[in-house]
Amino acid sequence: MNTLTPEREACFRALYADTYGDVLRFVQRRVHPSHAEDVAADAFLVAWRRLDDAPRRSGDRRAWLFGIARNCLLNTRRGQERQSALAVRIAESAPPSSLAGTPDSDLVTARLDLASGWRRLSESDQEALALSVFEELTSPQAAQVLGITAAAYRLRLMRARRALRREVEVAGSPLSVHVQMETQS
Amino acid sequence: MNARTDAALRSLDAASPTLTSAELERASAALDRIVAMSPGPEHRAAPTSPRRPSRRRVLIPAAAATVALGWLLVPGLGGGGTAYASWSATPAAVSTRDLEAVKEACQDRLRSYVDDDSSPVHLDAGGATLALAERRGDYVALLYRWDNPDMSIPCLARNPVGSTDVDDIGMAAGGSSGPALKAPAMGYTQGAIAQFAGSQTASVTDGAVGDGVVGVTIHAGSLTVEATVHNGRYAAWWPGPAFVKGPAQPSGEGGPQPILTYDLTLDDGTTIPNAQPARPS
Repeated sequence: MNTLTPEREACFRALYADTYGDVLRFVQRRVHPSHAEDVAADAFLVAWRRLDDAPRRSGDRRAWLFGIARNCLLNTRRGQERQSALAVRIAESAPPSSLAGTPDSDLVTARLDLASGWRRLSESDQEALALSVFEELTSPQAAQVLGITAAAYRLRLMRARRALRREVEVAGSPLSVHVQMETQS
Repeated sequence: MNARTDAALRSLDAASPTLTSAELERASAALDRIVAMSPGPEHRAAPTSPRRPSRRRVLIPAAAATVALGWLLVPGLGGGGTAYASWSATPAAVSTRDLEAVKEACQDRLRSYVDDDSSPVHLDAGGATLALAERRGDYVALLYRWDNPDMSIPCLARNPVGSTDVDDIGMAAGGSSGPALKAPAMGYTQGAIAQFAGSQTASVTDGAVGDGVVGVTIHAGSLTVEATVHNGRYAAWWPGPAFVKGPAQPSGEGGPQPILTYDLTLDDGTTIPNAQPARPS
């Protein structure tokens, strides 16, 4: 992309319209909700200044923006922490209404165990899983966000999945219950 | 198996599935503020651009909505629950030896902060002036200033007296894209306010004072802080919030409201309680 004002502005506005929601949700998962809109705005300001670097393909653009937002978040951290991974939040709330009041308490428990297992994962594992599960990025795109190779990301994702399975089973629910939970919810 | 587990995880997503109308409104306002900013010298609008440049425009979107103020909520500072136990409401001078140690650490961090391509703040680190320094217990605060654009970056760092150890460094930026405005005689301007949301909340603010003002006392909820005043500027930090605690809100316009009130002490010994800040023209 190599555009000049005002075409440049039109191009940025289109990018913003297409991706703002995704970027805000990316940030909401990684920072207190009270900061999320500020961080998203910071990320888009960087994107505005670096628009010529934006990839052409839509999915790659999302990944590019997520990478910028991630750097904005890491920039607020101190020293060595700046280079580390970002924890990914999950819902704090009780089970969804579709499960409330049902006799299948195993499924409710399984949901809580899944949440509990997630919180015990390392930040690096949470981040690897989140980019695939929540942001729905391909391995090359997720690797771009993290600044690593696609092969390294795939390895990290595989380890994160194993770690989650282990943590959930430690919590008491075999992961198969989650499969059941999903098919019934 | 992975697909179903992923679907179960998605049901625990912390992000909102859709944007509220208020979020959409704020997103639209943020977009307008961003494109109103220069993307860089190679992309400046042609001279025929209909946009009228704003005299005072804040560089950080979080602070852009206010004219004179930069309000910023910053995640991630604070070394622990008792990190600020040594804090004092009255500032102390920083010894030359301690100042050198903290300056080295803060300047290193400052360069990294403003030179990083992904940083929202683009300033010349070499052009910063160290406007003032103060000590409150184990922590030293340095205030870096640029007068044009009018920007402040406070650096808060742990450095026990007489130690060369400097850690737990926090930094925030606030200001505007216009030149700094002088405060009127016997008055002050309210500058950037930053609240660090780490394991223990800390806040920092700075601004300008006019001729005749020798002291600034800031009330932040239950805390009263005597600011450092030097060469027409004041700065202070305290181990507590700067904004009203309430439902999650963004910084900037329509965002968190500061809880701060200011008393001024004049050179004739009189005080002006609950002094109101001067507004830029």
